[in-house]
Amino acid sequence: MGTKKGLKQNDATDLPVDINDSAQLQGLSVRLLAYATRRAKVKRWWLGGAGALAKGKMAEDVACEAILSLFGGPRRWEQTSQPDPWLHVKSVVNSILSNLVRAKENRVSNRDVEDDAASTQSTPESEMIAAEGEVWLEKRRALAHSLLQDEILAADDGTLLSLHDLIVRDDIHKPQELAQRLGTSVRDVNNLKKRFWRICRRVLDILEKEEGQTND
Amino acid sequence: MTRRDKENREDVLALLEDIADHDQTPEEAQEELSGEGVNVSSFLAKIQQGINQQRKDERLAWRREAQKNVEAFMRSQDVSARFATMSRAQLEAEAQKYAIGLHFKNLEGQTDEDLRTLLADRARLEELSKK
Repeated sequence: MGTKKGLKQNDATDLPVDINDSAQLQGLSVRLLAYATRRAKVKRWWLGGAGALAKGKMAEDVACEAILSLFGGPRRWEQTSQPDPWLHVKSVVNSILSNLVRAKENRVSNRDVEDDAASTQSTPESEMIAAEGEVWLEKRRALAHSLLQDEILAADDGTLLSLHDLIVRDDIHKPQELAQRLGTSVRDVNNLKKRFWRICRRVLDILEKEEGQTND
Repeated sequence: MTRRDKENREDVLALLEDIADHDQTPEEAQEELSGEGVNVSSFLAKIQQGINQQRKDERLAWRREAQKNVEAFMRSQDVSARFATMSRAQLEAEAQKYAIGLHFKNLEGQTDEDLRTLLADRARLEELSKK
């Protein structure tokens, strides 16, 4: 890791990271890996698998591919259309993860189709299995939400609860808008999200562990 | 599953994705990754290796392209006969067409033979670019 100078984007100078400065590039890479790891964790929960994403790609591969796109390759960074390398690499991570999730979902649904074809048409058994699958998905969602709410209540933090409500009930996602509604700054919203993430991570870890035990 | 059930599930997904999207310093990110058991040094080494490889690939691609152009030039028709019988005045008049080109400056310092070679090469390149 390099020095603090240049590693933290924008705070001091409002300038984007200089990718030709190795210390700044390392800082960007580490921040991106943390971001990709968080997003991959959420996607894994969504897919209901405790292991790797589709094509065996892990967060590190995704982050690596995104960083390399700053220097060339098919998703090459176009500095004229996106001057900030951080925003570029984040969008590459999001795009790769979405494609992997789609690939995994398609693989599952294709297998379902093949299975259906092999067993002629839908039978009472296959319908029952499909219905059970939906019930299971709904239970997972409800359990995740319930665990999240428990943890927020245990934290006894009114601002966290307000942030939760603004996102889930009022469908507000932009940091500026959240800051305005909470009567605080964007920086404070960011810090609030960091605290909230620690709760989410605990919940996702519990769910992953439980699913692992169920699969065993 | 009802539409509302699906929406509820997606609400939780949107919440988690929103919360996962926050800015950190590299130090905070490193601490978080260490807590997850991620080997950051190995990741950074992999990045450096990837960048080196990509730079090497680009240099090789450039050399391959240059080699391809040389081979295409060698295969093109030699047109030096077109300029072989031209007088000095005719050669200079021909060279004036390319006055902005680097090699066609200071004509007085070039021999007739140099000018013939330059013009013949230029003509071959023009033929190649038309293909």
